[in-house]
Amino acid sequence: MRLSPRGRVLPGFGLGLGISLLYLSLLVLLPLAACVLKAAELSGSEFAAAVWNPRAVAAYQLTFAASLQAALINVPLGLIVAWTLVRYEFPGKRLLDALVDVPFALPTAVAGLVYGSLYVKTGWLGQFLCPLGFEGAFSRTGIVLVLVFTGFPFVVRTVQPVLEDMDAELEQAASTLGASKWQTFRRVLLPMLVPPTLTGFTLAFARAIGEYGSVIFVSSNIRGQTEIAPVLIVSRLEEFAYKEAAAVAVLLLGVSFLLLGVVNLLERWTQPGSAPRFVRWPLAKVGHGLEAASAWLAGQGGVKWLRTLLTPVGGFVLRNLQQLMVGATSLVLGVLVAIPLANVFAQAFSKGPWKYIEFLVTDPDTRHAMFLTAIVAPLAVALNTVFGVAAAYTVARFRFPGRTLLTTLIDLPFSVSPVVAGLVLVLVFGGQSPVGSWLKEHGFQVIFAPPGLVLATAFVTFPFVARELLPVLEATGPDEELAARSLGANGWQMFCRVTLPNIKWGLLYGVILCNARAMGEFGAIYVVSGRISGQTDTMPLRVEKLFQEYNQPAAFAVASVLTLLALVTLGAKAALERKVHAERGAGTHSEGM
Amino acid sequence: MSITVSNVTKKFGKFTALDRVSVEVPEGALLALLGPSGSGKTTLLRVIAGLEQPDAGTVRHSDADVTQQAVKDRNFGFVFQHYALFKHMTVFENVAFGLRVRHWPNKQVTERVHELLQLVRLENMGERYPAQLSGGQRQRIALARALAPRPEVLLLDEPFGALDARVRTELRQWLRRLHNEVPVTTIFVTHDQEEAFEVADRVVVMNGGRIEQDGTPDDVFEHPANEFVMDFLGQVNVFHGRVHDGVAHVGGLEFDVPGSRVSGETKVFVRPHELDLQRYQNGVPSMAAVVRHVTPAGSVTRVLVCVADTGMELTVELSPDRSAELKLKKGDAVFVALRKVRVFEPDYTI
Repeated sequence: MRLSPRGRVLPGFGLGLGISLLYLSLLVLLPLAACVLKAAELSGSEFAAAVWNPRAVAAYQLTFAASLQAALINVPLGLIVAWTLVRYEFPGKRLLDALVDVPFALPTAVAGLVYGSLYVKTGWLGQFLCPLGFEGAFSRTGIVLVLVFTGFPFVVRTVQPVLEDMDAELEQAASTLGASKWQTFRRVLLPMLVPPTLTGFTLAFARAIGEYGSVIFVSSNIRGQTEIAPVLIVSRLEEFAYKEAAAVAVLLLGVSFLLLGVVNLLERWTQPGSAPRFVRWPLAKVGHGLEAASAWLAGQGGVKWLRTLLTPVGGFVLRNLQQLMVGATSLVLGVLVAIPLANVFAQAFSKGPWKYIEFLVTDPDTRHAMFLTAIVAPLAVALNTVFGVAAAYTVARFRFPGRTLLTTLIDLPFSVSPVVAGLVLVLVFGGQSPVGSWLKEHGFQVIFAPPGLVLATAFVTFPFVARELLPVLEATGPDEELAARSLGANGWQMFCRVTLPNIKWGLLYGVILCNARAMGEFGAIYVVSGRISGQTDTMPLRVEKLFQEYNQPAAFAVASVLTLLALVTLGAKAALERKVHAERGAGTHSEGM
Repeated sequence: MSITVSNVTKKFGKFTALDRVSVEVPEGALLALLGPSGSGKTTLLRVIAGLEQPDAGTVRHSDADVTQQAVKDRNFGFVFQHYALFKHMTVFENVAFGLRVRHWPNKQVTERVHELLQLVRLENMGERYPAQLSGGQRQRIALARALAPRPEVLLLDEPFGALDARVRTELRQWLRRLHNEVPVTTIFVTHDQEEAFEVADRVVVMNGGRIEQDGTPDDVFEHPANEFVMDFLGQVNVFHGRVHDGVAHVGGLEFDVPGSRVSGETKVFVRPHELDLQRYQNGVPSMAAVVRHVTPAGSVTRVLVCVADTGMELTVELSPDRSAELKLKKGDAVFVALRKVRVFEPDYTI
């Protein structure tokens, strides 16, 4: 079946594409363009001065170095965890699997708060580590640690499906051909794991570069020393240096898009033989080099001592591989995820349950923050749901020029720093811009007011619904919809009676994920809200403010509510995952397309 | 190299996949393991390869007991049903894999791989990836890969199962020729009796984790050991009759079944080509019937008839000559003669 641009059989192309484009333009393209235009108001030398001064360079160095370190650490950790979760059966496996998603669902402000307090001298882990010289808070190490936390699921979740899809017969084939366990791993499994690992690494790296919420808690944010690039943008903005802030943002955006492009290419190259020669050739050379080196080593009598040394160690590792891997996975997830989670609740209840309730109920500003989060998040989710359904349906059911571009644009907010997202909205709707001042004259304030919060939240979370629906719709195929049309259903009847019931679990799943991120959103809201207590503070912002006021137990009390929401989200996600799986599985009959 | 399987038992949970199975495969044989799905034939093949550990029994290779030997040390080539080609490697590297892990020098690897690609007639495909090949080509690459390290035994699991009918027929003949060129001891699994008869020198029929019959294709087809083999190998007409003192009574007709120890009610089996049709009852004992359908299927004409007395439907296969002579059409009255009948002794071993 070919759905050509002319003579489309299924209805709703114009409406779907219209909604998608309008929403994308208003929320993303227009603000991004405004940011570029703002930066363009600077002359060449001014631009250079804005993006390339000692303070900025120091910020870039810290951002990129810390992000790179964190992403590099995530590769072995992610591989170990993914391998263990796919290959072994052991008690508690499902719990560990659920813990992997915590960094996706936990608000970054909560992560920053708890990581900041775990590694100080009096913290749960700091009390042991600080005497050993490991300064995990208010230091560079602290920044790397929290970035490892936020980026770690990317590697696990990109490697895991590839490992799951690997046919056991491939390894059996290798062994019938005479390959040892090590040779099988090195020649068959490892090459297949390289593309997803690279993708996961790039995603973790991109995420780390844009990360704001968690870092400002664990970093002392000292100018030129522990100040990351997004913090630089915020402080420029607070100095009302809009053009300079935009200039730095444009630079970060450039890097984000570059990384997004790399991820897309990597995904395409995952198909064997599709990588261009200039990529394959050096990789093959490196492989051959390793091969030659190991053959040479094997041939050298001189390294015999090395072998006698390594053989017992290697033998021990191979014999106890499962226990070692499960142990390592438990350790990684325990230290990175479980201990911080437990610490949030421990600190929240440190003054007793009555005090805990008091923190949440008596403070009017905290109450207002909860109220505001409960309003803003659902509104943003509702907007994104309409967009997500329209965009996913359009992309899955129609072929049209620019389709690939639309798919890429859906992913855009994943790679834009939340701070940049906030900034671009300020540049369009803020009091200093023509649009913003016109709106204000007509009595409608966007920035430093709830509408801005909704927009910022929607920007950052808008891929979630569309991303979840796309694979479900693609797996279901258009056959049932075509059948409904042939039986005389009109567009709405077809959509409500066939399309929607088919994707309902996937839709709910996307909505839940989107909502979790919306409630926890920090960086973008931080920029657009103006942080007026009792007026524009949402819960994550309230956490930060209480933290700044040295009211740790209260900050943790609010954080514990957010954590609980994240855990509920993960529980619901686990339950829905099975249903979505069934939905996709049911769609496999549509191969005839 | 010969393979001797003795008393092998393999259970998966409560399911017994192999029940005290013994087979001997002499050197250079081309043997088919034939049976319906779930009969244990693939499990037996995997036990021989070492991909499954038997719960009891032994696998011997020449004179050595290899039951406990690691898969990688056996040097038995194995071709998987879905080929299990390494997707990230070119065709060349797939075939070279077994040589590379044995640290062959580059030059010899190249020579050997080219030799094999020539053998499977895919010389120009070396730089392609498995995803760029057709099903039949993948199948041949899988075979080349298994043959590259000069295996002592070649094992194939449903080698033609995933291919369409035409490619299948071609590859069968090709495998037969290949075995003549490279006479390595070969065991292959199939559920298709035609395939087994066409390719193999010897056929082992399996059912329910046991061996029902072991013999040449001719043996197995002409002298099936029991009801299962009779029923499994091609179409068969089943009559309900009686046997008494070496005489079978079927639909008012009598046949000698010499040497049969059966007595009383029994099933009587007649293959479609062992029936004949006549226009007139010319002295030969026969049953009156009506033609229901005529299928001219090429080498044989298949006629479906309905026996007048009992309403039973029979399938009859006629040679083209005979069919041209009779000029049958739907509704014609005919007489069915039985050239040969078989009765089997009930299986008391259960």
